[in-house]
Amino acid sequence: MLSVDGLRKYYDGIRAVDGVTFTIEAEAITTLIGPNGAGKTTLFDLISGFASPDSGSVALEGTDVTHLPPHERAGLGMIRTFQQPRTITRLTVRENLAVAAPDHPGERLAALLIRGGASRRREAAVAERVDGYIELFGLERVADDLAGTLSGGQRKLLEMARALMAEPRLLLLDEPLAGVNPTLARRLEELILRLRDEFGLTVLLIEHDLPAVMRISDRVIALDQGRVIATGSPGDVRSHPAVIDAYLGSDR
Amino acid sequence: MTEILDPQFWFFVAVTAGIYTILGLGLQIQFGFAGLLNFGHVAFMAIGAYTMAILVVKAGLSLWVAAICALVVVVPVSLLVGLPTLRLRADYLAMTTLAFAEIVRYVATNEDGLTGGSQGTINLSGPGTTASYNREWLDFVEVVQGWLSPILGDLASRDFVSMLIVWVIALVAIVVLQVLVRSPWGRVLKVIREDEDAAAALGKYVFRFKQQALAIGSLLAAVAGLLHAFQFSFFSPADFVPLVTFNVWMIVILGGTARNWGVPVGAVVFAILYAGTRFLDFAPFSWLDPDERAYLRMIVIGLALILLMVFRPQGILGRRDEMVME
Amino acid sequence: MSDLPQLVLNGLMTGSILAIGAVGVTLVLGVLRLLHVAHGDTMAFGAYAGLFFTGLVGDNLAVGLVGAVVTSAALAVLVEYVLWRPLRRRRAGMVGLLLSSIGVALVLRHVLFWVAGADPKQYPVDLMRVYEVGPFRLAQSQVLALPVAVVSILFVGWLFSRTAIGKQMRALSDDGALAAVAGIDVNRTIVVIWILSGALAGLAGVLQGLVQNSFNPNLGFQLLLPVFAAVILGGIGSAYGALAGGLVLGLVMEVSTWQGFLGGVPASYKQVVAFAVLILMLLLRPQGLLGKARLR
Repeated sequence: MLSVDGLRKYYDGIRAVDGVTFTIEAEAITTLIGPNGAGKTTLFDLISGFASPDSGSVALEGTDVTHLPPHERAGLGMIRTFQQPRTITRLTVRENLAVAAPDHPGERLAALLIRGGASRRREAAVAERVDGYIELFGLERVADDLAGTLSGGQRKLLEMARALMAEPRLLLLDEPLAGVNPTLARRLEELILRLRDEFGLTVLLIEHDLPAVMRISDRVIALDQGRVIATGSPGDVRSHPAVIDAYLGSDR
Repeated sequence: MTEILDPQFWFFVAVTAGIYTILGLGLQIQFGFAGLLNFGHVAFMAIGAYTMAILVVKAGLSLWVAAICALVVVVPVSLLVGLPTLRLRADYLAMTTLAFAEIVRYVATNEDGLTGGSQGTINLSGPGTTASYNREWLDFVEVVQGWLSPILGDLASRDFVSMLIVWVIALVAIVVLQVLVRSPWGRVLKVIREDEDAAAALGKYVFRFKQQALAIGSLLAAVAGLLHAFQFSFFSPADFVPLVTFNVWMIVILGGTARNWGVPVGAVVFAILYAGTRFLDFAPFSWLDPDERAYLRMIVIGLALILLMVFRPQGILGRRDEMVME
Repeated sequence: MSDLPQLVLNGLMTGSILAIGAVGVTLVLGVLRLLHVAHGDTMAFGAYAGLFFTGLVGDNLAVGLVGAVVTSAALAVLVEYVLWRPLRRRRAGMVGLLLSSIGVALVLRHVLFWVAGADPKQYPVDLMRVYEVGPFRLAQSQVLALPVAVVSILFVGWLFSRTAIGKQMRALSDDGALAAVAGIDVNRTIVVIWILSGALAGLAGVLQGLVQNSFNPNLGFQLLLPVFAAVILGGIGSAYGALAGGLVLGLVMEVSTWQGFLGGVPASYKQVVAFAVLILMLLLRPQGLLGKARLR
């Protein structure tokens, strides 16, 4: 589904990502783990197009996307979320979700002015999907509130719902469980599993919560200092000596 | 002092307010909705006005055809300007657009053969002649006056008719912009204004939206330029100084960013301030001569801008939680 | 007047004024993230203040210079306490600061118009007096201004390389958050920055007023965009860059009119050369000629 080959990114002499290669299976949940500063978010930036690599390549379902801008990768079905939810504070929850719908004729100026009907029909369809996700994520009570008034946990839900509205094939989740209370975290874990099972999505996530990682991942990739130090099933990686070293070492 | 009671004077002020409203709407779509810091807005006003006048005087086109041509020309020019500049960060965009507007003004001032130079459109046919482009507009206004005078009598002056026309156009512009802003297209703009990267992450081609906002705003500026040219029958590069852009900025901020209906409010307040200082014939203002009163006006505008930024950056109609100044 | 060595000299004169003006702008932009549109009008203020103090003591230009520098610095500090600090407390963003700066510019310029009038003023120098030094012809104003400019530039260079406060300003300009953590008193350094920025603006204004023969309150705005261009050329936040950028730009502006360059740029388009440099730099190399490409 996604393959990454020899990615390198240096910032001011620091090797943030130093020759990373791996592949992600379709319809599976893969998790990136590693101590802070291991290069996980930089890797996400490289994969999603928010940073360009110094060398190496990224391919989505066989298509080379290494130099595509982020919006084109999103158009191919690669949707990412951010560690700090980037919900739009001045739009309501409904509007935040609606704007994520892809290929809306009403967003094209020419189509809007000339064929208003197509836009209206799509708006109606989008509104239905929006209602569906509001229900799925339990956001009914705040549906018409400005996103700026939401709590941190609600914003994380909105961020994920919005990513789904964008009709992804590959979902890149950056620490979806961070800063969220345990009950909500459990719900989110179940949701991520449902994404794979019911929606057939491929998920790549970054997460620090190791027990959660063990529970939901099909595969785990461990990073340290910009390099892959172990890949495999959760159990294998967890007991891998290099991984234990990296985590213990970082507790200095 | 009796001038304050003369409706004709206020019709004239209303025309200016209307033209500034249209300018303000153009800036509103660019800044209030797309977050673009355009400080060269007056450039497109100039391009619209000059293109029309040059086509009428030098190419002999009818005023209406020339006006349409001017509007058509503005779109590709704005796209061209946007191509390299729209990806700049906010304050760089401000500087670049300001420099661009100054270049336009310099060219207008120095290329006498093309634009009539610093003496303005009177000089368009060359020195020693008096060029005029406005005949057809004035004829049209007379016709409309003819329709209205049975009903309104003396009130139907030239300025009254101009006021009607300008404000009809302004209101149409507001309605169209409201439709645009409430559309899915407008929704994407709001995302871009707040967080471009979030928009890109959702698959929106940010650059194209910004280009479109720039083009629409520039088109409105050109319309304002045309109306200015029609109203005064004459213009020169001095009509397109950066001060005009700053005035428009003030109007948009005053009315409330991202509030289309705030723009006419801001423009009217501004026009009244501007014109009203003329009437301060009592002490201590009567101690000032007209030049000094003009300076005082500008000082008041500058102070108003500062006070707005400090105490009410959301403007008259804006809401605190919808403020665009991050 | 159109031969190359003379143009180079004029370029250095223009350039050093731009350089002095640019240092203030680059510091304020780099540290306070404020594009200080009112800097130009502070220069105009300096020109008029200089004129005032000169006349006060029997046409003594030295007194005029000192008076201009001191009052311009005081003005900048006043605005910092009255406007910038409250705005920072209210978390005003880039746009709010920019619009406020425009407001200050408008007020300053029109107060000058009101108090001094719109008719051109000039410094008490002999306009007819010309000194011939080798291939150069120098007006009396240039003879007076050039050494002052050179000394000022050297002083600024010394200030930033040798003194503690200079290093603090550089640190703050490079990374404000880090500097604050390192124990630098941010507010105090900001006041020092305004003192320096205002003083240099006043100085540049006096020099420009001298060299320009006659000036009116629009002097400031006319210098503004070229000063911005110099700042970008040298890399935002770098005082040395501003000095270098100003000198380079001044040279480019003057030398571009040399007829050896395919007829040369017409003299009235000199400003446009500066605008073009500004636009090109921002499009192609916004980090300046020497700067490192920073993450936007």
